[in-house]
Amino acid sequence: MRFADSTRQLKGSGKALWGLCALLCLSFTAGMAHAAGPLQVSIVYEGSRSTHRAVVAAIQENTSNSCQELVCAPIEWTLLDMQGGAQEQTLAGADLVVALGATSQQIRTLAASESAAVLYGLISAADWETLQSCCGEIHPSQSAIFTDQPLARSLALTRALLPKARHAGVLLGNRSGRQLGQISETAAQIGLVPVFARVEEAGQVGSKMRSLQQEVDVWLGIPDRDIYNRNTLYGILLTAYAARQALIGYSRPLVRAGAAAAVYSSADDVAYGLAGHIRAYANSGELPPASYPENFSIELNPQVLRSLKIAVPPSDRLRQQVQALRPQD
Amino acid sequence: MKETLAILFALGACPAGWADDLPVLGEDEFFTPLPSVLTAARLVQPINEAPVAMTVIDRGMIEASSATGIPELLRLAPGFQSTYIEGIDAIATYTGFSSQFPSRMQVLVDGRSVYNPALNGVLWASLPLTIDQIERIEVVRGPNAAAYGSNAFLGTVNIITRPPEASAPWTVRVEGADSENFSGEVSHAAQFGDFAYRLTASQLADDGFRNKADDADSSLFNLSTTYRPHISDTWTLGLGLRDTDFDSELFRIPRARTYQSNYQQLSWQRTIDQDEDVRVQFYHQEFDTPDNTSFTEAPYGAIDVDYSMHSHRYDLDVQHRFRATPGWRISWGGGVRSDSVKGAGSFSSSDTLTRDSQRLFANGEWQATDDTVINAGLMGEHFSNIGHFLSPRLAANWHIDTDHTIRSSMAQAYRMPTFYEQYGELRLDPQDPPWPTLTALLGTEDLKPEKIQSIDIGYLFHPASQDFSLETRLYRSLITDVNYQAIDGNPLITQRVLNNGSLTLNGLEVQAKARLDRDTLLHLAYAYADPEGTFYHRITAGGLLYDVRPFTPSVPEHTLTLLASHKLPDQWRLSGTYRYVSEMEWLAEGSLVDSHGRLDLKLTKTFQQDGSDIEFSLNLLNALDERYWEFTYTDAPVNGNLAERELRAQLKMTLN
Repeated sequence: MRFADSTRQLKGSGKALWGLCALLCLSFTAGMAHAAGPLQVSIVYEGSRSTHRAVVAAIQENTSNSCQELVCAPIEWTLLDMQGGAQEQTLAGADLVVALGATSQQIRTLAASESAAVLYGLISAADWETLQSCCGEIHPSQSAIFTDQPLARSLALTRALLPKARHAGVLLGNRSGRQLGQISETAAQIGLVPVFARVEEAGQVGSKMRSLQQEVDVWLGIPDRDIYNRNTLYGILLTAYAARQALIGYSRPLVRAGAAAAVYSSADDVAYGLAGHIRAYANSGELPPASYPENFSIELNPQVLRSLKIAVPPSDRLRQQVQALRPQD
Repeated sequence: MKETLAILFALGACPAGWADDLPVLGEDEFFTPLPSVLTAARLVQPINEAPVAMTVIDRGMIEASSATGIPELLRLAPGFQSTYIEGIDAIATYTGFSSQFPSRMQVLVDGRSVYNPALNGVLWASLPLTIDQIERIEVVRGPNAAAYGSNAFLGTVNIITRPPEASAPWTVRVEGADSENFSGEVSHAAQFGDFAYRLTASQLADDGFRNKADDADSSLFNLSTTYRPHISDTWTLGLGLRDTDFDSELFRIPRARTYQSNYQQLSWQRTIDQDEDVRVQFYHQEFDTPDNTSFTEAPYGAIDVDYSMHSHRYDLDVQHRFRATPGWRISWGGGVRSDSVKGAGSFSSSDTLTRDSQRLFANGEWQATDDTVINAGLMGEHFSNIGHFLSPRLAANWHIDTDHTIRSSMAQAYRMPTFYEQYGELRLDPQDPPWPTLTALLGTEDLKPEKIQSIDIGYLFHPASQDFSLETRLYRSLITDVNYQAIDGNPLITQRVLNNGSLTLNGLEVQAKARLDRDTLLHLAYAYADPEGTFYHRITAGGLLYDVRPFTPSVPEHTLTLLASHKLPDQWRLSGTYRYVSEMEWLAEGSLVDSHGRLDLKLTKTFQQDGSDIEFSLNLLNALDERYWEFTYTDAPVNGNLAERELRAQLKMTLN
C-alpha cells in the first residue's frame, strides 16, 4: 500500500487541475495491468473528511476478504488525498480509480475521461445523472455506488410505520423538483398519495407546510439542501410535530435531529458496495452498472415515535417489511 | 486506451458552467450532523410513561374548544374548575379548595413561573399571552414540587408557546360579540438565517357580566426570538407586557383597577445530543396594581383603602439533563430567586418586603426492567425567613403489556405562604375621626407553609395500534397546616391568616381521548372528589381557636368536561364542549355556587385564498342559555356573575 505524500494544494487551482489530468492519463496507460500482477487501485479522496476516511478504510477491509469470494488477486492501493496535493507518480499505473465525493473539480475531470476505469463513491444518483447528461454516454468502465437511497425504500418504511397513512406531504425545491414524477409513480405503488409543495426559497418552508397540514398524514423528506438545512430544520420539525405528524427522513443525522425514522446507507454500506464493484472489476475487467448500495440501515427515533404514538414492529420484521413492500425502484 | 492526452481533451467536453451544477446532492446532506431539534425536553411524554397523572391539551383540542380564555382551557383536564370573578378576571383551580385567588397550583409559561408571590396564585388577566400563541398545555394533576418546586402543590400547568420558526409570517384575528365585546390580534414571524422572531400585539374590550359594572380594556405585546449561532446552541429572548384596566366591584367596592405586568426572559441551551442538554435561564417579571380607593358607603363614613401592590421576581435556573447509563436518565440543577413586594396600604411595612430562595433538584428515571420504569425526584429549597424544605417524589410505571400500564406514585410538596399571608395588613382608614383604623386582613409572620402528602394509583390503556388513550386515577392527598383566614376576636381586626385547618382529598379521575379518524376528536375529563377536612373559623383575642367549619363544600363532588369535534365536508367543522360542575363553595370572599352545566358550540369554516388560510367561526357560548352564577361573593348573591348565552364571531387570517 502506498500513501500519497501530499505537499501541494491542488484544490480549486487550474494548474493543479491540469496536473491531475496528467496523473490520470498516466494511470490509464497502465490499463489492465492487473492481469499480469496486483490490481492497482488508486483512491481519490479528501483526507479532511471523516466520511471519506471511513469509506477508504472500509473499502480496504472489505476487499481484503476477497478470497472468500471470487478474487484472490492482491490489490495494491494508492491513496491520493486531494486536499493535500498530489505527486504525479501517485496515479501512474493505476488500473482503477475510485473517486470519493462529488464536490471537487478533479472528480468532474474524471467523469470526462473516455478511457479511465473510474468508480465513484459518495455521489448521489442525481449527480450521477448530471454527469451522464453532461458528458454524453458514460464510458462502460465508469460506475458508481450512490449515497442516497432509492425512493422506494423510504416509501416502504413510511408504509411499514404508518400503515393507515394515505397522504404524504412532500416539499420539493429547485434541486429536488425533478423527482416529482418519480415520487408520484412510486408512492402510488404502495397506496400513498403524495401531496406536493414547491418551495422556491427557504423562507417559504414553514408556510408551505402549514398550507398542507390539514391534508397530510405524514411528511416524506426528499434530500434537498435548500429545504433541509440547519436553519430551516427547526421550522420543519417543530411545525410537523405540533401537528402530531411524523417526518420520514433520508439520513441518520436527520433522524437524530427529530425525524421519526429513515432508511440510509452508512459509510460502511457505501464502502461495501464499492468493494463489491472493485472485486467485480478485478474478475472481469469491467465495472458493474451504477447502483444504490445493497446494504442499508433503518434509523429510528424511539422518543419521537413514542411521543407520536407510532407503533414500531420488531426490527427484523420492520426490515423485512421494508424489503418486501418495496415497489420497483 | 493508454492515450496520455485523452483526458486532457476530455476536459473540454463539458459545457461551460456545468461544474457549478454539482453536486446537486453532496455527501454533506447525508452525513453532516444536524441540530437536535426534538429533544426529550420538547417532546410530549406519552401519558403511560409519565411518572405523574398528566393531561396534554394540544393545539387540536384548543382549536376545537370554545374557550375564550386560558383558564377555561384547563377544564379539559379532569378536576379543574374555572370561573370569572368579574369581567375578564378569570381564575382556575384544581379540586376546588380555593378562594378568589387560587394559590395551590404552579403555572409556567415556557419555563417561567407566573405564580404571583404577592397576591396568591396566578392573575390570568395580567399575562402577556394569547390563546393563539399556545402550542400545548401540559397539566400535571397532583403535587410535583420535586420537578417544579414549592407551589406545584395540587397541580402544575405548563404552557408551551409555539416557537417563532413554526409560526406563520402573518396572522390577523378579530373576534367579537358586539361593539363592546371585541378583540383583535396581529402576529408577525420571520426568520433570517440563524435568527427568528415573532411579534404579537393584541387588544380587547369586554363589558363583562351584564348585571355588573366590570368592563375591561386590555392590551398586550410580546416578542419571542431565537438565535442559533451553532447547531448545538440556542439563545431565546422573550419580552412581554400587558396593561389591563377594569371597572371593578371586587370586594363590593366600585372602583377602577389596573394590572400592569411585564417580563424579560433570556435562556441559553446547549444540546449535546438527544439525551443531553444544558440550559441556563434568567427572567424578571414585574407586576403593579395601583388601586387606591375610597369606600364611601361604609357605616362609619368614608373609608380609604389602598390595595396597591408592586412586585418583582428575579429567577436564575440551571439545568442539566443527560443519560447516565442506558437505563438511567438524570435531570439535575439548581436556581436562585428573589421576590419582592411593596404595598403601603396592604402590608405591615411600607418598605419593600423581600424573600430570597435557593433550590437544588435532581430527578432520575430508571428503566428497572423491560416492563418497569422507576422515577425518583427530590427538590431541596431554602426560603429566607421560612426555612429549609425537601419535596420528594417516587413513582413506578409497570407496563403489563404494550397496551396496559399501572402507575403508582407518592409525593410530598409545600406551598409557601404568600407575602400577603405573612405580612398582610390591609387597613381601612376612616376619613372622619374619631373612628379608628380597622384591619380587614392581618397576616402571620411565622406562618408555616402548607404541606401535602399524596399517593395515587392509575391504570392506563394506551393501545399502540390506535389513537386512543384512557387513564383512571385513584388518589388520596392529605393537606396539613392549611393557611386560611379566621374571624379575629379583636374588634379592630376583621380576619387573620392562620394555620387553622387540614383537608384530606380522596378522588377518582377518568380521562379518555380518541381520534376516531382524521376527522373526529373525542375527549372526556371526569373527576369525583370526596373531601374530609375542617378549619377554625374564629380566634379569640387571646389566640384561642374555635368554631369548627368544614372545608368540604369547597370541593365539588363531580366535575365533567366532554369535548367532541367533527370535520364536515367542504372544510366545515362542528365542535361542542359540555362542562358540568356540582355545587361548590369558593372560599374567603367567595360563596356557594350551585351545580350547573353548560354547552358551548362552535362552527368553523376554513378556506384558502391567494395562499392564505382564512378561518371563520361562530362560537355559541352557553348554547342552552342555562342561567347560573359563575362566581358569587359572601352573603351577596346579587353581586354574583350571571352567565348568559352569547354568540361570538371570529375571523382569522393566516398569511402563508
